[in-house]
Amino acid sequence: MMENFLIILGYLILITTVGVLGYLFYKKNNEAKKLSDLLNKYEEVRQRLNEFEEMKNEFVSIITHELSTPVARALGYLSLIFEDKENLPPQMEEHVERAMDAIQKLSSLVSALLRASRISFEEKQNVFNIGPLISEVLKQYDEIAHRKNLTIVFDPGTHLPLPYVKASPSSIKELLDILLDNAVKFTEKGYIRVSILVEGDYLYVNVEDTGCGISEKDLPHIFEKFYQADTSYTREHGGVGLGLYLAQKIIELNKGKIWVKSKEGVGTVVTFALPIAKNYKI
Amino acid sequence: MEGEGKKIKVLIVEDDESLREMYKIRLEYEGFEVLAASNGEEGLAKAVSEQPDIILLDIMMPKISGFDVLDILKSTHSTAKIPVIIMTVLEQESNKVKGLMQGAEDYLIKSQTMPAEVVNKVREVLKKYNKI
Repeated sequence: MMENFLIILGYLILITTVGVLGYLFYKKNNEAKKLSDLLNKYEEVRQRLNEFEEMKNEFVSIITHELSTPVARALGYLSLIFEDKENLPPQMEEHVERAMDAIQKLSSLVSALLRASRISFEEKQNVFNIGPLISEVLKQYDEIAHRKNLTIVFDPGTHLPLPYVKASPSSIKELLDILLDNAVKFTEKGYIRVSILVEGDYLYVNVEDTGCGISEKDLPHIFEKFYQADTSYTREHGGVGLGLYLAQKIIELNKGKIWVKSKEGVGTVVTFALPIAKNYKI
Repeated sequence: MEGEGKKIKVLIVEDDESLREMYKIRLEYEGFEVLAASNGEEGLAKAVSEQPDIILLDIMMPKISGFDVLDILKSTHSTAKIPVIIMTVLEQESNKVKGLMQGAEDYLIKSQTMPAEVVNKVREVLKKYNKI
């Protein structure tokens, strides 16, 4: 009697154990499948976003290029009229000037749009060495620096080899372009110096110039959208006041910091900091 | 008038008719003789047959791009020494570097360079080549 009872109990325990194990196994498989499904879906969405971004960028590139030709035509013909201003009726000169200003603004906006469209955040690599990127960008300014008799210096600092930074390379390239463009635009003599400093969790890049500088009045506003310092330089060089605004946006998106020190008549230093990538595999 | 009796010949290779006319008007006003081509093939043919003193070359053209035209100009014996100024809407630095490395004298952005400035650049280059 006892023996039969024990046998039945034994079987019951065995069946229960197998049942529980089976259930746990089934549940784990189900979760693994759910995870795998989620990962596949994520990959699909990421792929679609990538394609969409490529399509958008191509479209923006084509349109901005197409916009430039009518802009060139309009500005060109207006300037031909303007050259003959002595023969224009009194108010006509002002009308033409205003029309040219408006189109020049349009042209700057198109350039800014084109620049913004070149920034991509979906990149295979978002941990990179900023040194070679700076060298590459600086090379493109050799020609204009030579023409303006300016010296361009790159000082990678003493913390070598440079630690990799965690950021999107294409956006940092645009950022460097914006800062160097400004530096070259507003510097008539002297030098432009890009230097690197590594401290704590950040890598700091300084873009220093001996240009006309920014007044105390303008300094607090320079990162504002469409803000342009009121100097003869900005009036001469046009532009639309979006450079530093875009620069700040790029830095924010890359979880970095940016700030400016300047003295009118002496020069400007723009510094940006990017987080150093830790535990990366090269 | 440029020179003594003999006008300086400028060849404009530009597919946009409106822009072509615009530069032609301004250059003729300055006393230059202006030849025009509306595509790369025509531009190359005129460069060889007319032997201009200077060429203004657009980049974005159908069929054969300005960069290819520049390449052929520089590798053809009869046109290799003719100075070329690139006139384009392409603003990227990489294109500018490419153009200059291929032997162009200058690289001008059409929407940022007024016809009068183009004339100045033309004079600059001609002076450099002792043609004026």
